[in-house]
Amino acid sequence: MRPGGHAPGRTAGTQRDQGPRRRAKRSFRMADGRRRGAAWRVGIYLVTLWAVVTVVFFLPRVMPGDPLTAIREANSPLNSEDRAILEAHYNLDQPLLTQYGLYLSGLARRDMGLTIGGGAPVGQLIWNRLPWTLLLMGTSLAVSSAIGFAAGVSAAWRRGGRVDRRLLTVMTVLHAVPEYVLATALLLLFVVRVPLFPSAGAATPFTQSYGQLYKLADVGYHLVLPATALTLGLLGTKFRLVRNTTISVLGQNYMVAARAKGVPERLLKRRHAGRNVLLPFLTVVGLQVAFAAGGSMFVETVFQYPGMASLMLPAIENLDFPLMEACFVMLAILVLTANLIVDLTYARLDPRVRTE
Amino acid sequence: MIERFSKRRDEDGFTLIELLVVIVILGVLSAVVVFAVRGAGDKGQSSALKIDARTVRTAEEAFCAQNGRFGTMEELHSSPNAKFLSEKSTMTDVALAPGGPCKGSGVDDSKSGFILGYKEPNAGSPPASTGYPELKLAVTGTGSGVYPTPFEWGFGGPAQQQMNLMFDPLLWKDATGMEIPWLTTSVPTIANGGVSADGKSYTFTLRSNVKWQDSGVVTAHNPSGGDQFLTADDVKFTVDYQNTGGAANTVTPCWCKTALTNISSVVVNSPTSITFNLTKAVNTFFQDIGWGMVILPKHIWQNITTSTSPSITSMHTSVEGYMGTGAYKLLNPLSYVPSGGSCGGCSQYDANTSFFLGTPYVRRLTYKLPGSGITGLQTKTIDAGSVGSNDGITTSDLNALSGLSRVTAPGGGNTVVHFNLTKGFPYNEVRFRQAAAYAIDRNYLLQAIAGGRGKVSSMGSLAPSHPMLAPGLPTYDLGTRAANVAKAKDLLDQLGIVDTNADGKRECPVANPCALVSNTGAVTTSVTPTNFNPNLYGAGSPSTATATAIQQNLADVGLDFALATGTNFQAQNGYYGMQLVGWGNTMQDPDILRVRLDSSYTAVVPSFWNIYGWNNTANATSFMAKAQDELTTTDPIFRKKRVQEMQELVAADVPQISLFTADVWFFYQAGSFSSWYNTPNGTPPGPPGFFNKHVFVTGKQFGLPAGY
Amino acid sequence: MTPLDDLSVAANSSTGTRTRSLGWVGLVIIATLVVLALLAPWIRRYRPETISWDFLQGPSWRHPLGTNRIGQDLASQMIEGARSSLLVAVLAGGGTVVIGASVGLIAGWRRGWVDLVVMRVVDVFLATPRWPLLILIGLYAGRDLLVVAAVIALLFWPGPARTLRSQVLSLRRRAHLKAAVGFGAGTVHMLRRHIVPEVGLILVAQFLSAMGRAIMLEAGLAFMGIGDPSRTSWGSIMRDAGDYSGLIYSNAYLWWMVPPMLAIIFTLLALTFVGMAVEQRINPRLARHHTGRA
Repeated sequence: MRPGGHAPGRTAGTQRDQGPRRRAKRSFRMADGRRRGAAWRVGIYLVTLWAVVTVVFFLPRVMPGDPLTAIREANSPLNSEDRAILEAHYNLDQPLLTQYGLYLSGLARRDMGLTIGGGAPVGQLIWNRLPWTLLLMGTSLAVSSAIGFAAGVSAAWRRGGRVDRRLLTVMTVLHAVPEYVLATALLLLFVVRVPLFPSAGAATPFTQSYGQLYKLADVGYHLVLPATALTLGLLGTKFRLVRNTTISVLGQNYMVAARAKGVPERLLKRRHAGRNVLLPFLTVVGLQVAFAAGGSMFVETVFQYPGMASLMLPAIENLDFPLMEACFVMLAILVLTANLIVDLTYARLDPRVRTE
Repeated sequence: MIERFSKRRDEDGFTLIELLVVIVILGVLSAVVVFAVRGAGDKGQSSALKIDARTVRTAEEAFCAQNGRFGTMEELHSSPNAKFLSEKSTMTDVALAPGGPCKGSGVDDSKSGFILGYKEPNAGSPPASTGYPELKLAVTGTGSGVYPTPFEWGFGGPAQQQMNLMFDPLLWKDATGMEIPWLTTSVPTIANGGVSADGKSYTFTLRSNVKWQDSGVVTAHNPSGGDQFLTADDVKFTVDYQNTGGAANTVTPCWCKTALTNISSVVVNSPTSITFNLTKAVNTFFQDIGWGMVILPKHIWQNITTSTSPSITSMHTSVEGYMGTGAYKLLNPLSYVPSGGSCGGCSQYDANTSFFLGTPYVRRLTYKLPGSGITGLQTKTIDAGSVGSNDGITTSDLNALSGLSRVTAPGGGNTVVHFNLTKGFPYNEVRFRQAAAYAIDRNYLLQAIAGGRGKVSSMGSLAPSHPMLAPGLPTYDLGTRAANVAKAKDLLDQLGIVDTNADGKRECPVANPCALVSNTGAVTTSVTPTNFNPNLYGAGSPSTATATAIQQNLADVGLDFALATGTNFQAQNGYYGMQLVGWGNTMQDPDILRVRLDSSYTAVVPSFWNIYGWNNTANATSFMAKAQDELTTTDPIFRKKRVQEMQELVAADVPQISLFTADVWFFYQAGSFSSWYNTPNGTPPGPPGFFNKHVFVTGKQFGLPAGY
Repeated sequence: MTPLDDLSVAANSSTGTRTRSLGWVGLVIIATLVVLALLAPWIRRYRPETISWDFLQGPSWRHPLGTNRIGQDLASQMIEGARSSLLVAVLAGGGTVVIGASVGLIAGWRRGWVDLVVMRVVDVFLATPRWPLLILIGLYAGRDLLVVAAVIALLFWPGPARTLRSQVLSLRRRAHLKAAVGFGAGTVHMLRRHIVPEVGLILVAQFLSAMGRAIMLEAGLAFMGIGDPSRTSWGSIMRDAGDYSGLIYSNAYLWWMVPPMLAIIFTLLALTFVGMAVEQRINPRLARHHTGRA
């Protein structure tokens, strides 16, 4: 075994492909363990994005239901003439494939159209909501990463000790609690029974007259419970990955050798173990973005947080095609971008690349 | 070191003790929760305002017996019966609505439209000169994708309410439920010559001091920045616009369809006088045109000419789209996002200091998202809010809320089962619908779903407290559950819908298979006598709990319905055999009967509250004829007669089953703004309810400020 | 909870008797649930959907877990919820593993362009936010529990597929398998006699984690009001409780909201424990092979 030989590839965990390792600069390991260049990787992401866009475009349109009939409330009939005008306006009169083409070209121009419900520009609506989802997801991912990493390494270092066992217990339980249960529990406890935190929204409205610091604190105050729910939901996985990887790294011959050489414990922890743990950890953080996106939909719903969920779920109910599609596409872009960034960072950090 | 690592390898992981710790932690958590609950429960006892309405009611009863009408609080105090009012200090305000006659036979607040307002002792309102600084209100309902501009708001949503703050119709309503002049100097009547004797002509005299909000503002359509006054031209323009112009027949958010289609001409007599000529008398004229249609500024809207929704919706991205004559101005209109932003549809309105009735009493209105109404009230996030009709909160829980005062709106919301008779057997069969009426335990639903606050509905479909309610309608209730179930089973047996395979569920006759309606409206019939297992769709406000209860009621008589979640789209288009819907404002004009049930009308105007296809019986035909009488007669007594006959026909044929009509309890912070009232027969189809701009403008329950 | 594909739940973390005991504890919890679910018609005192005039009653002898706002017995509803959860767990979990394992086996065995195509598809799936997609497809495909289970299986098979494929690839390289192929053993024979037995425990571990995910997803959908409206599940009990505005002004949530929450947590925990025990069985074996090969 060579030093670094046990750094896992993109597939985290223990059941890894043990195939021959080719060395290539800036290479990526695909799901099949193959190594590919950055361009290939970006290509995969673009294909994924295209697939998601295609699915969310065609799925609602082949299902029954018509946004134009669904848009207005009682006693407001659409006569055929006006219906035709509206259909033309929203391109709903075009053949499906033409609509698809128009939609793709619109996306390419960053034009996501108007909502059928209120004629509002979809881009503007998303721009209003996306930052809140990003804030919630970002905070939760960051906090859970920090805690997960620190706790994981500590636990592994004192493997079998009291701290390790306590942490392992807590994290295993957390791992088994879905976000929506966590969020509901937090809501019941800290909003209803002991009203410490606000029950809804992301900020106190109409605080124009207050200072920036107040506003910042206010946003933070509203963020506490939703972010806690999502953080706890993400924590268990990270902790266990870090702990397990660290343990397996510590058992490696090169670690033993380093210890034998008298490398100081701190250096050992940081340089030798840390870097090898960081790589699979990074992969998991990337993968978790997708789960954080899903989890935040629940958390936002429970806490009435004004993120993408509050836009997406009514849009689905109202068959508001442009809005619904845009929401999915934005989430997909978010997740794919995060994964791409992780991949690119990975290539930079991979010690095997550095040995070239 | 090596030894340390290898040694530790085998001894990590969990112990059973660790597992126990987990369970203990969960247990402790539960215990903490229990403790928290106990503490919170005790607090409720010391409610400062345990008000008993009986005292005032007794006094009113006595006053009524002597004077034939309800008295104001001052009158009650000065009457010889003031001895009833031992608690003078806690009840200082009574508002009355002439919804029903005071016959001296007892005052029932839900029958008469009697409205009680309570005031915290010593809670004085600030004088009109300073006004009330700010009211924080909940954003009610969901208004996704709807802006508070004309043609952009959704019926019954928050945007309709807020649009009415910025735009005004000709007339309005106060706590009496009667029309009051708003943009006009008086309410037209036959007596004052404003309405012709045949009811075919209405003349309005406009106030001369009504300024549009773009007065003094330089905008695209007011380049000089001068004053822009309301004239009769604006009114005529609005009618034309609704009828033939920009918004022609498309997505017109105006409850004015019936009157609009019967207007033959609109004549501008002078800048402040306008006459509407109708082809026939229309009883809903005030409802439709009087206070149902806001007046648009011609100088702004005349440029929006194309008859497509998109060009109208472009107004919500324009500052001018929010400029009416109204009492309030929307702050930051261009940053307004329906149910968006950091708090979901929050908005803020400042009093319009050049409003034609003087500066509004409430200086600022802030609409917030408080979570739920009650939570917002308890955390003092909002000043006032209501408990909905389907909430089922027990009355004792509500009474335990502290620091809140209450106003009750009788008949605030109703819940109805619809049949779509166009879908064939068994829905088009009277006996099937009657069987369902017997099977559904409406008193149970009232208690379980509405917490008992309200009344079992009349089978004639008008609210139980409606002044035009028909007396003595069939109730489809034989007194006991067992008798009702037996009756329903008997009716089903007569139809041949019987349990042939002894599985406890009824099947349809082979010769006459039942219709199964899919969520796309498609109908299939089963050829073999398999289980009749149709969907029961729920749409709108009724909860799953209501649907489940009805499903179980029907199961008691052997009808096996599956629950399905319907969308507004399905409800509107009649994609159901049977569905459950709900809406508010049950006290509105009885023309609602015609609008909902007359199949010649429902066929052309799709709506979630329509009953489709009730045209297959003599009763239905008779109903349609009577509906035309009801709409056009000028004789109120004849109208009431027709309305009652229409209810009798509905109750006989059961094209729908009105389940229960729930009261809405409206709470406000004790000691804060206290003139709240529920607007009787509000603007259809729902608002303003408790959030009447009249109360914000005047700070009072009746009348207009002195000098106006 | 984050159901990460391929992240082995207990890798390296647990060996020895403790994990085994925990595994037994998990197994007992699951077995109890299964027994409750199977014997439900005989042990419950009310049909879960039956309404009554006992609104919002606290726990009592008649109603051990109290009643909800339309007087339904919550203990019976909880048992019915267990049936829904287990059903969706078995169907969706089984579906996920069957699809995933088949694809993984074929990709790993055939290699070449089949492998290439399959793994690209897997890449696409793994990078997609499947949670929101599940909501969308669930809304359109229908809310029936079977449909939900099918959609879950169709969205989440790539995880097991990837794991299985890499296992098969590594098995193929083993000397005795190479020899068997060399002697002319057929594909079916190889898969049946050599590959499937080797990956059996891994399949079990994948199945357990897929079951947990399915339970979580189904309850989540029901909680959001996108589940099957005519079926009682733990998520739908939570949703009903949340819909009731009076929940937080009384003690009702204690017997209405908390039990389904605890049920979900303990079931997922039990599955995790069993999964850990299974993986502990896998790991030493893998470790032996690794050493043998190195």
